[in-house]
Amino acid sequence: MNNEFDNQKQQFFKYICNNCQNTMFSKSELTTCVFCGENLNEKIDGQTINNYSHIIPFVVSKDDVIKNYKKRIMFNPIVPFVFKSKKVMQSISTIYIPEYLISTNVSGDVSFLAGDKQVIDNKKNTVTKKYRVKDYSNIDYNDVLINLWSKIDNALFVGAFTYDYSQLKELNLNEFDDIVIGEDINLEEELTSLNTKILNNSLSFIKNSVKHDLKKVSENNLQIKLLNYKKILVPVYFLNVNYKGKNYQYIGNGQNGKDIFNFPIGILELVIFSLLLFLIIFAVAFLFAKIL
Amino acid sequence: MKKFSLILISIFLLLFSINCGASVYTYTRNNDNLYLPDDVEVTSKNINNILSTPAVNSSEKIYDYADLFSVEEEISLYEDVNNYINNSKMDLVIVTVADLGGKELEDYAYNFYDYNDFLDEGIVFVIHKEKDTSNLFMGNSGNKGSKIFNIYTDARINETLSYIYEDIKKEEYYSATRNYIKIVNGFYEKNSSSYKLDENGNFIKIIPWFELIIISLSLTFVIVMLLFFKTKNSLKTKYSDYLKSKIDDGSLIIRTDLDEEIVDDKKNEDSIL
Repeated sequence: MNNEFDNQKQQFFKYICNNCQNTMFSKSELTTCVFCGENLNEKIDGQTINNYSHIIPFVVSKDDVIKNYKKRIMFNPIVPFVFKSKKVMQSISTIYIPEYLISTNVSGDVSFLAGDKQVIDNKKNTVTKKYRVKDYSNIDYNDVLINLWSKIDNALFVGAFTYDYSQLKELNLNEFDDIVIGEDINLEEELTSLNTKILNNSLSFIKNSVKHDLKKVSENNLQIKLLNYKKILVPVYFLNVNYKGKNYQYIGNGQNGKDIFNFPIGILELVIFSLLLFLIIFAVAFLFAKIL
Repeated sequence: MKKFSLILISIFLLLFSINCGASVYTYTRNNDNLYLPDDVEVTSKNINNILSTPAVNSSEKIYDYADLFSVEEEISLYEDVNNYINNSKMDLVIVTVADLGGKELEDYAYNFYDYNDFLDEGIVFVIHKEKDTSNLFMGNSGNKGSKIFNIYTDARINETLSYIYEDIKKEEYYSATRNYIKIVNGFYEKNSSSYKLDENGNFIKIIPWFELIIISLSLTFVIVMLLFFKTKNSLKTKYSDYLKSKIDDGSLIIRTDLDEEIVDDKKNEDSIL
């Protein structure tokens, strides 16, 4: 009986948006897609999301996020008016996004051909002294996130997804009652891509430590090893606005409140603001000149 | 009795000869001695004007024919005029007159300046005191292209005379003349076409419309650009910086195992350059 009760508590509805193909999981009824705002018609019940082991809980409230949003957007006169409407602000969604949290190790030798330029004969000639350099390195990358939802703008992802992973706790589906976004990124491909990025990052880091003016890699024996991994859910306040055929997003970190957006500059708003500003400055300068 | 009458007559003459203003010493021009500056050419057209213009000592600067100032006032004004002349290296001549000798005020003023030995560049200020009213004139004299015409423009002359006329109407001639000297000195010191006199005698800076528009446009541009870049630069974090922030400094090892100079380059090492 208890098992049946627990199983019921772990039951989610799966929603698929026919417009943007976004997938969402929720225990309660959802009427609109959190990404495109279209009505949701397709619903599958009896789903579960038990492939996630940990969660970072929401700390910052939605009211605080809306306040931040107002501070950043409402008083910015060149952001288009559509982003300042009450309807848009109220449509900020409280969601969990699936992420893959990994720690990796990069180790191995890298050999360089290096050189130092020397000036001789009062700048008439230069000579390059050449060196063979071999560095051994061991670099650990801890808590690197791999985004598993393709609809998030990558630039925003890096800027906003900075979490304190000491607050990670085990996911208890019985108590969980929020919206979870479905994964739509191939983890294997993403992991391979990330490994390349990490290796390049390590190489760049090692190259910078070589104490010569010129350096060129002659042999690269760096190896990458996955140390540990978790599939987790991270808290996000999310807003997506389609403006003139393009998607613009506002993301608030649900743990620390850090927010980021990629809203456009409105041409009409820019012109109106510039005109008003010009008139005000002109009037002040005119009065100031008369008073002086 | 005779002695007593003599004393009485002397006292009488003394009383009537005392005046509260300083007298102006004027030389008498005649065909043998016209008392003209060297640069003035005498012709049949100007000889009559020359002869009818008072010849004065050009160092006195204050010529109070109408007796509008007391001795003390004249001394004080003379000091102010001298300060102006020393400062600007331009002349300043103040004349008060009741009788223009049939001339127009402007002609009287310019003749007075031109036919006496004043500096090439200078101002002449004349108060023509009539029975119930006073008229004012200010003229400037100088060579073609002289800065005096840029400093004392028609507009500024009008502003100056309008301002001091309030005191002239109240017959406060000394106060009016003092203010006059202060204003002409002020225009000289400002030395810019951007100043004018307001109705309270204060110098106010006027900025030409064109400059005002340029300043406003420039400030607008700067503010809009700042706002533009602030809006756009909310996305600053590069992925490489994100990865660098994930490096565990505690376990980081970068150890140089080899760093030797290549002495013999005959082994066809790749070019570094």
